[in-house]
Amino acid sequence: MASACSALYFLNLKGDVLINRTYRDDVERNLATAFRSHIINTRDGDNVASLTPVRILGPCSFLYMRASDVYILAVTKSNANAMLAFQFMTNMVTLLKSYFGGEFSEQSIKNNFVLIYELLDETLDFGYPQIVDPSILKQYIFQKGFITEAAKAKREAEAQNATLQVTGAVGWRKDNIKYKKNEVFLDIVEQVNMLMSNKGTVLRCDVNGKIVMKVFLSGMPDVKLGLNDKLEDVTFHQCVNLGRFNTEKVVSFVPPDGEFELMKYRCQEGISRPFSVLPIVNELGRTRLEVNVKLKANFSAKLYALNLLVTVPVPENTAHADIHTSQGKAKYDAKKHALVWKVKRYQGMAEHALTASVELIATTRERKPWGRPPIAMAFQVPMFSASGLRVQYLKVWEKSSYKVDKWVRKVCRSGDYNIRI
Amino acid sequence: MAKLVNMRGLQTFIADIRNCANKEQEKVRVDKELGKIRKKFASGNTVTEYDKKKYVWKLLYIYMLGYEVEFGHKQAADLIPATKYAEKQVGYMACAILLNEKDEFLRLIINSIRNDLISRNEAFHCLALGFVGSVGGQEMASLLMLDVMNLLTSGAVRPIVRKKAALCLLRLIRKAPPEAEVMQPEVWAAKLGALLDERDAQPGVLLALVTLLLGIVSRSYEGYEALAPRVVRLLERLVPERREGGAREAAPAVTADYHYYGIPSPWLQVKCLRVLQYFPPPEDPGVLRALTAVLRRIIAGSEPHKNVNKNNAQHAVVFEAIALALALEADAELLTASVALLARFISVREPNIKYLGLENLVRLAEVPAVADTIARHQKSVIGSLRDADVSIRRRALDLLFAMCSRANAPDIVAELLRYLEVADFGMREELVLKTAVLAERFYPDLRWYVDVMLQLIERAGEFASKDIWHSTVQLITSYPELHEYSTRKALEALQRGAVHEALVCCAGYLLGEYGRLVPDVPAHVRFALLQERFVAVSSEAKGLLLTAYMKLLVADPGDTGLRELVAAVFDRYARFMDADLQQRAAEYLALGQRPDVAARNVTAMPPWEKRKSLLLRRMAEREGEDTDEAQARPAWLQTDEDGVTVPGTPSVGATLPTAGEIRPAGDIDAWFRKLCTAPSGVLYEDANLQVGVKMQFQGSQGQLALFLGNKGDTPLERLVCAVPPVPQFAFQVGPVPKRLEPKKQIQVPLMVACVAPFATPPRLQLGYACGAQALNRSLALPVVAAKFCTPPDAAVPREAFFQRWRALPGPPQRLGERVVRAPPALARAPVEAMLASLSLGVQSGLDPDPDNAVAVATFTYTPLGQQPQQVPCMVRIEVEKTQRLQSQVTAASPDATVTAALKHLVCQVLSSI
Repeated sequence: MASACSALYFLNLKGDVLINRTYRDDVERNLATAFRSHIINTRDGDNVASLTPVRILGPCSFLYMRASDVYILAVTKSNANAMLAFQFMTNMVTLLKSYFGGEFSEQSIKNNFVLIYELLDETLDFGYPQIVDPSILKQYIFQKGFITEAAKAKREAEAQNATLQVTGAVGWRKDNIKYKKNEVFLDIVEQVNMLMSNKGTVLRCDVNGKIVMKVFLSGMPDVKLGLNDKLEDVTFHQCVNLGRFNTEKVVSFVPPDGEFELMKYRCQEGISRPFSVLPIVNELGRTRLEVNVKLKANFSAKLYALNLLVTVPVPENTAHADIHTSQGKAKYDAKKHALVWKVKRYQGMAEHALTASVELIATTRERKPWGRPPIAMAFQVPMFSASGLRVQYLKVWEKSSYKVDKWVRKVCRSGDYNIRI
Repeated sequence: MAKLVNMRGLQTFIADIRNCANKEQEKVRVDKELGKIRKKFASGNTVTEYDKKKYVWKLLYIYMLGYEVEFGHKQAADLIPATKYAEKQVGYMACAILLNEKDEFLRLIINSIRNDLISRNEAFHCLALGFVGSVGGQEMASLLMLDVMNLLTSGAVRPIVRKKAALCLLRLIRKAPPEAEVMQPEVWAAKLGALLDERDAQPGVLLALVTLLLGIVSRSYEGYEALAPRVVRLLERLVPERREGGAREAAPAVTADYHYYGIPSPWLQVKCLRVLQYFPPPEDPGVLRALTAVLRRIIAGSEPHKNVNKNNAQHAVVFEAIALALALEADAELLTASVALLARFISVREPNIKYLGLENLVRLAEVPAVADTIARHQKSVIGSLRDADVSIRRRALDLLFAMCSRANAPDIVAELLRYLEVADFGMREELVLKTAVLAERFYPDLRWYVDVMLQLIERAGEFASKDIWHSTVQLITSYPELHEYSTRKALEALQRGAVHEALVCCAGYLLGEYGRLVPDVPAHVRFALLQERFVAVSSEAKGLLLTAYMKLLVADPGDTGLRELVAAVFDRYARFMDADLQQRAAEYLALGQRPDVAARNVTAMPPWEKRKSLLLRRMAEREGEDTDEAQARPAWLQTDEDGVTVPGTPSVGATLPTAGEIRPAGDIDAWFRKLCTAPSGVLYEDANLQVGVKMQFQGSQGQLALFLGNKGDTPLERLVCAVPPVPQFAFQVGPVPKRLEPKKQIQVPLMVACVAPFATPPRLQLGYACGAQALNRSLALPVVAAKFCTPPDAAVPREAFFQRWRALPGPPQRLGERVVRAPPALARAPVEAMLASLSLGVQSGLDPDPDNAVAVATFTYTPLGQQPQQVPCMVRIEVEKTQRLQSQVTAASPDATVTAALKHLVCQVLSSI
């Protein structure tokens, strides 16, 4: 790879530097100021160009992303691989989360400066990404400052093994792991993205799915997972034997210990949409708006959706809204400039509707016509697979052939689920 | 304000906003609040006055944070007619911040403002005046000017109102169109004089009045001359005689409250002094004597103090006094005193005073009477060149340039040459140019000039532009007695190791031309000196050097050693990448093999014909630009050099050629006014071009013919005659040729259709180039509202007229304006004739007073793709009976734009018959 990141910054939302590490001397030190004045504090929020994740200011490219209330910024002067940089930053967040007990925020960064410097030293070398796997790094970078003698001796031994392990044949799993109860948990998590026109035609629809496993197995088990062949774009964890997948369509692997993401996939055909929506929004003159949104759940009546949230945008000069719903609660939220309809539990195959008459306040200047942004939906449907992916079998094979408890779950969540009005 | 403190909701809201950690939180909070306010405002009448006030405050705060609050404009405006002071105040403040003068919404509140202006409540007067003074636009100026004037002159109002009225009027005057005469001098000179003369007038009011006067005279002082002695008297009272105990002729103008660090109201003094600068020097010797005495007192009575504020105030007064003394062309004694004072300023350490002293001395240096006095301070000015502050160094350079004369030129130029070595890089370009100009302007003898220029070129390095060495070699070429001397000097410079390109070029030229005059230095040495520098210079300079080598060779054909060396160079460059160099080298190589041909063809440069100094022209270009420190490369560096010039005779005060300015041969406005009433006439005329126009109108359509005639003997190039599109009109312009031959006339047809009512006539863009002169002017076309008017066929019945008239009660459909004219008195017949010429049908016997003229017409316009629309309009002119100098013009029509346009037109024409 002929490209590298010159410096890595963590900044808060105001643009103050929380922590930074410069890996190469080809960039100046005052980049954080440039980032603050040109990117964070730009007023033109409407300007789409200002929202791009990669900005080029002068000779430097600024690649940045936001995680909770922190901006992570990678600066490079060369023609760097942007996807690599973002993947690295995403992994960095995961890594830090696993160190901070699942939390990643401005405060947690401030509390762990020393640790973060250590991690930054390990994860990037002269700007080139190195190991970012938490399970491996945790073997030699410790969170706690104080440890007992015995633990120290043990850790030292482990740390010595670390090199061996990382470079070994099964780098992701240690030898001699022992559990009293051997268990495997498998979750299929799917995110369904959809864009529908106001006539009900589907303009775009796809499913991003992943299989997350939690493995508590002794020894060196060999696991085989059989899936129906509905998969299109698949990415596997490094433990998966790709040769066998290509020849036999069987996912076979020696799992790492604990929680990991086994595979990711994407699916664009044969998707069953969990909800269909029929919106009618009429502007009556300059000061009134009639809204009627019909909602139908397309999944089996045995299932149900949780925490359904429908956001129906209304013009910015809305003064008052009179709303009726056949289920759940709805109100006008001035902060989002939208009517927000909430249903805690929505039965499969059910049909419900929201009707509202919205009153707008007149303005003195001629406004530009309302942009009619799309309706957005958020929900979660347990035990529903939008892509139709099924687990046919999950087999565990180990020398000592112990008994294994296996658990399989599915959940379907909304991604960008939008309906134009 | 007490109420404001108690607004809990507002306080909590502001506290919430301040507690927001970032922009997003703030936006969320603001959106929430806006939602609430919208709901409240939309809910109808249930909002209490208190709540309304509170919400408008909140909206104002939100607006200042940068969010749109358009829906609140109406609510804010609704508070203006409120009866309580607190609400009115909020209304005015919100409107002043939310609306700008272009806002159409302002029209709706003009009436409420007017009500406040004519009310009896002084607090309301103040609010309304403050609002008009900060937001008032052109429309307000035309509608409210009379009321504001009344407030100013009314004897009953308190000083604070009068003060505000004066400042408000100033704003309205500034907003009025530049050609309009808003304050008739006949009336206002006397009124303002009376106000200024008031015995117990407060300094605050005086300050406002003088500021107003300043605004008026900056447009035109004509008619106000009588006020100058009054201002002088005021100044006299402000700056009393020093003598204590002596009988003062007037009481001091200001009480001790208005003293600022012991100086009586410096602001007022400064304003007075500045007003006087606009007037010509007073004719009355008494006034002039008094004014000179005041100036002398000011200039003599100021010395630096410890206190910075006192210093600042005093200096402000002093500098204005000096400016006035310059404007008055005061006696030498006063100016000498000023120079002495300023000289003291430049010798102090405080940089601000030093800067101001230098800057003012530059202005004084142009007065010949004090030139000698200034020259006495040359040393301290030169000292300022080494000041730590760059802006002071720049001013010092300017001053040295300005004060240089034939007598002190050698000293100053020598000093500037020394200074060149240490000067800032940013200043060097300017410094080099100025030194060169000074040397050229004041050289005592030619050798000195050559010395200076060669030194300058040597030291300036890359800051010496081509012009400098071009003009040097030109001069040398023209004076044979200089040839040997300058060649030696150039050789010495080369031997000292000078390497800069300009010097190398200069030396190459001199050695090539006159190298044979210094036989003690052998040709191959001369060649070697140049060849050392050959590789480092640009290809243009290389070309010059190649020519120089050729000339060396021709001058010394017997030197075989030189021949070989030169041939080697030519040979190498005959295969060079640069086409020009390659060709040159190849040709010279061939010439070198045939010495006889070479000797015939390679000859000495002839003397240059005398032309105007190139340097001076560059200097003028440079001065024309912004002389800010942060300027980009000066224009004279970017322009390509168009031949070289001779410095020739010292050109003190040579006229600097500027882009030719073409003046019209008469008053464009008068032509325009005449065309408003006549169907044909002259639109524009100058020395080269005459533009006549012939018009014919029918309903909303018009046919114009523009006659462009070339009066001069030279053809007019790049002829432009175009009408920029305006939404209210549709145009169709015939073809215009690019060139207009001498003594020839062309006709350009122009069709115009009125699409909508309009306030200002369309404009014609007229331009041409004639030799060095060029014209580009935007002229108003006489397509005024009256041209689209048609008088009624029959007399209008009385009832119908008054019904219409009453249906339009006030602005903006009905507008009035008072027109005051210079004598002679206005008879009735010309008024009626004027109305008729404006296509307005005069109706006699309609008005109860037979002396008033009433006219009726129909204005027609055709929106694109629609049926013609007709707007009935009415005009009434009442002439004041006794003197018949003032008249009240009232225009009315259902369309505000038509009314305003007609009123403006009638007033304009009326004041000029």
